[in-house]
Amino acid sequence: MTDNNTSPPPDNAVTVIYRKQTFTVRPGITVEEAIRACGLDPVAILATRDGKLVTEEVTLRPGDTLKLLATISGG
Amino acid sequence: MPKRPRRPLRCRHCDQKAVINMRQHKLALCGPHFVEWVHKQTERSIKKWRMFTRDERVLVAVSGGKDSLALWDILLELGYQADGLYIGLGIDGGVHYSDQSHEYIRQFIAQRGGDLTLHVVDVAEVYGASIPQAAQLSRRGRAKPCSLCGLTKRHIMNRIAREHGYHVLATGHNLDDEVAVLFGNTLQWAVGYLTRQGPLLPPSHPGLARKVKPLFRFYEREMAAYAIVRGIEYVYDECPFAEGATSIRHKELLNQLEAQSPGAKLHFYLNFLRAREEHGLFQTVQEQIELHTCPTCGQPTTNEGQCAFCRTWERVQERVGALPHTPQGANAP
Repeated sequence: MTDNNTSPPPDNAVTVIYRKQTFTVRPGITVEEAIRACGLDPVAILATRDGKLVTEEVTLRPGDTLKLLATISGG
Repeated sequence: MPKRPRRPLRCRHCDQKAVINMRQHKLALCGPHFVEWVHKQTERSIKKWRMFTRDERVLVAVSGGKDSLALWDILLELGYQADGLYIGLGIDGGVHYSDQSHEYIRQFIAQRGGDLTLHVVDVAEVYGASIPQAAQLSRRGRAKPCSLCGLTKRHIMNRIAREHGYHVLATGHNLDDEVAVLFGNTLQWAVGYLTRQGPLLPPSHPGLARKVKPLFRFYEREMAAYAIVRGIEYVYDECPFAEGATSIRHKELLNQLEAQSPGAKLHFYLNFLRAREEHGLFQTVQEQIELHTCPTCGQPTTNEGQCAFCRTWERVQERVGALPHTPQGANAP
């Protein structure tokens, strides 16, 4: 996994966006593995691909963009 | 050898692709069946706890966040008489937090044809100072205004519900909120709070609305998923003052437990309620709490004399001239 804020991702990589950060992961891993690769806890995260929710065991394809949403809030 | 892609999880009811997998229920659902499930579960909680009926008027406290907007949406979809209450706290935090929150509520109403009732109370306009300003001027929370904010919101919610004749005041607290509070109170053995915590709080005083939390069985991620599936836009950024909050740390800890044992949060909370309702846990404490009436605002208080809200805001208003830009329209609490 690489933090991609400075360099563009390779064409076949998977882009993962979380808050203002962008990461690159390799295709073929699952959503859950991608969440963990970004150092996050899947229990508190939702993932969308093309604006639609995807479950944790979905396998990521080359060129996918995955958006992660933190669900913990409070004060 | 490359891994073969796994077959995506399918909805238990229709075999379409699932959008959510709820491990604690061993239940995966597609978008439409998830929405149906959320509605059924909410209706079940409302009925089981006798929160309110379709003849009663419900005031939903909306903040612009996922939970409160989801709650308003669910109650409207279920056919309840639900109006909204937005409290403008005047929190900016460099992101116009309060303005942004209000905008999401306006958007929600516009998407539903614009004919919903929303009560708006701007704290600075009504009481003379925003929440961050008041925190600076009072003894409460100079560094962090969260306690003053909670105190003020509770007072305003009670006041608006009473003035407009609502039977019920509904908030969007979800299971993670409830479990984090329960965990915090248990660590402190805060028996007074443990006695009162629950999805239904009967009115402690004449003229007060009962307080209900119809989403108390849903995990926070389920409510975020509901908002996404229903196309509800909500304020995603955290309140600027929530950074480093104890409740967030507790939620993270509890999620670690949940990852190891799916359902741990749900069982912790439901078994607590059961222990209290069925086995009389904290019953003697409950009987000892005596409430008084605040001579200024008429709301209940645990001590004799003015309530904490009136004491604090009187102090703020005495000092409000010290602010560089004093908002107009200050009224006594």
